[in-house]
Amino acid sequence: MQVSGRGTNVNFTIDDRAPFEAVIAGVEECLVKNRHLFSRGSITVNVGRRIMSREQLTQIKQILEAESGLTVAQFWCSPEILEETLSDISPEPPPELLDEGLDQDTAANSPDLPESRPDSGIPPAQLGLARPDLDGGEEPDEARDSPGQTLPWPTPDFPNLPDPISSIPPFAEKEELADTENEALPPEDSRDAESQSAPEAEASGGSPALMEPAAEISPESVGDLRAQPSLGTIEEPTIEPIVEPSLLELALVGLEQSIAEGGLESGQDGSPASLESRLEAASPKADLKEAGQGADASTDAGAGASISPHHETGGLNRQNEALLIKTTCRSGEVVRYPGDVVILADVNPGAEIIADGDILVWGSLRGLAHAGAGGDIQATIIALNLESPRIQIGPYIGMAPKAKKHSNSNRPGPTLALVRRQHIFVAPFKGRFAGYSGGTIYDG
Amino acid sequence: MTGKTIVITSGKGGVGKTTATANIGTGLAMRGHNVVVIDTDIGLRNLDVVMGLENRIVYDLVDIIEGRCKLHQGMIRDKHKFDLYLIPAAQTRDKNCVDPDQMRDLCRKLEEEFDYVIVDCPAGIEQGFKNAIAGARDAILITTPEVAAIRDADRVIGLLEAAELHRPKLIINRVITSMVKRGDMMDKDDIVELLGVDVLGMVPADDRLITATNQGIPVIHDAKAPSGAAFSRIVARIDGEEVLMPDLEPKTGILDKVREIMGIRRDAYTHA
Repeated sequence: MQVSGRGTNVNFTIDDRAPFEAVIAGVEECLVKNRHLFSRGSITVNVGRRIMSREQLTQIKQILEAESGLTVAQFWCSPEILEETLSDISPEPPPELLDEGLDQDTAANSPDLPESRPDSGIPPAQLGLARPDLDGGEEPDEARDSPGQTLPWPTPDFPNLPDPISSIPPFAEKEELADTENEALPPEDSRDAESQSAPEAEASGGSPALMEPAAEISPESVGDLRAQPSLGTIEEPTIEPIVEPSLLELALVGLEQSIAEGGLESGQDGSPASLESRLEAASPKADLKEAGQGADASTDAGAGASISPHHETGGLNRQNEALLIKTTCRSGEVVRYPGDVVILADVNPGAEIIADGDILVWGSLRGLAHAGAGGDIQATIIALNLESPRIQIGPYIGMAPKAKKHSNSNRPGPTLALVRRQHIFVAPFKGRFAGYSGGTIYDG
Repeated sequence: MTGKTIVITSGKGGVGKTTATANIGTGLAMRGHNVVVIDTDIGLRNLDVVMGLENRIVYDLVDIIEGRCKLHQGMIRDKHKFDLYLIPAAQTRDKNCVDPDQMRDLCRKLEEEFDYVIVDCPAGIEQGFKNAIAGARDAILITTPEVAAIRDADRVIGLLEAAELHRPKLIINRVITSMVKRGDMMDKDDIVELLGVDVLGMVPADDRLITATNQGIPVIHDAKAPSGAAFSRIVARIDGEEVLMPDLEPKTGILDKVREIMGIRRDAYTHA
């Protein structure tokens, strides 16, 4: 690994074709040796031409954060690479990308190849033998000035993918490929091998990843989406800006973690006795939760499993057990829980329920409800009487319509609220997983 | 004998806490109990005016708590000579000069002598509220059938439950039956559905109550006032009697029927 630059403009350059373990080892070694050089701050890691899996990115992030005071805010790769990985259907994988998916021997045996980066400006013919320090490789830049471009949402229709293990000899093709500027080829084969073994739920994990405030945009999540041709609820492309978490948000993470150990906070300092009398843990509602989990393994459980802990409400780990509250939530009370919340009573105006999962109110929901608070837009809010002035699922907010209040006789009945086409829709409840094509928009 | 401390609270201001305190205290004394009523609205004292005792104040609650006078020196006996005493609030201080602990000690001391200690809570949910509920064993919530008052009452119920004052009872004040019948005002079932607490009683809106308050006589003394009658029923229920809740419809005479046919509206308040 080589270090160049100084001040806020430091570049670490790593051989692009080195196997991932060597990369990790090299990064670690360099950080340990130069620990005194780093101060606290948030950085962007440029993965260059290298497409890496989510676990690998997480590993890099953890090492960087552990060994230095740096916080990895985001990963960055040039948009051209992203587009190419999406759109190109050529079956030959570029050599460096074989490293991740297949044997390490292949990598060791690969001849040095000239590579070009679209933005490096060096024509491939001049490169001759590959020189590591010209590669984009992996560059943890300190305090990168441009925080990265907005990455386009992957288009939903994907081409047919070839066999996971391609029989085409990769090396023979390389010279031809090297001649072209736009060289990057989709790492389909290696990707497919990984993505098909990854849980199917990664697909939905990819979509909320872009909604979350501290999302890691990695080509891996994109690749997973490719493995799933139909994206379910995602119907139109969205461009989401990448937002870096501020120190305030990280502090809130810690605060909410400490508060929500109990799972409930009231508007004033509630005495412990009253808090416990309101909380019912696990057993009576395990059935409810399991029924939910079993039935929707592909969507709900998957979404829960694939969202990394960093993106939950306040940074808490998603709880598998639902929170059951059997008393009315009074005005001024706030329930914050990293899981599903079931309330066997009313939620009065002025109360707030903030849950990472679904919110089910066996009564009237007249207070504020925020389901999918960790970014899960598959979450729903179901109430026997949905009269909330404002409901929120994931990042989408719906305000109550100005319709006249119904009298007791012709109330709408059990209602489900969900996200469709980036708006909140409410519809009479037909079942948690029934298809909801109708419904009225909840938009003030 | 150990008495019972009941706090009368509402959250929202102006719904009738002080009036209810005066009337309930008087009613319980009329039934033969030893009662003391305490005004904790320091700085904005009103209970003495409603009971007609404002010219007799020498010492007040803050003097008792701070030790400048003995407990009995600060208590004013009621005009009508029942076993009813008032501890007024201080007018020149504010609510921060009393602690919840001090209030609790005071209530415990009073419970040794009196059957009922009725605490009049100020509006709001801050220090005054915390002081008032500190010594209480039971709570009575006053509300009017208006959305704003219900919202505040809901908040207060949550705070009371957090302070271990479970299952407060509700008094719905200023009910206008004609509006309820027209559907312009919430009825008892709507309110109970929203708040989820038991109703202790409903008090109709009454001209005579306003007159009585201005004269410094609790309206429960007035035999002809429907609100007075309602307070009597409420007091009976507090005392353990089972009293049915009557319909608050005003009696209609022949003139009213004529008015109804001709479409002339009566005025909103009930007559005796």
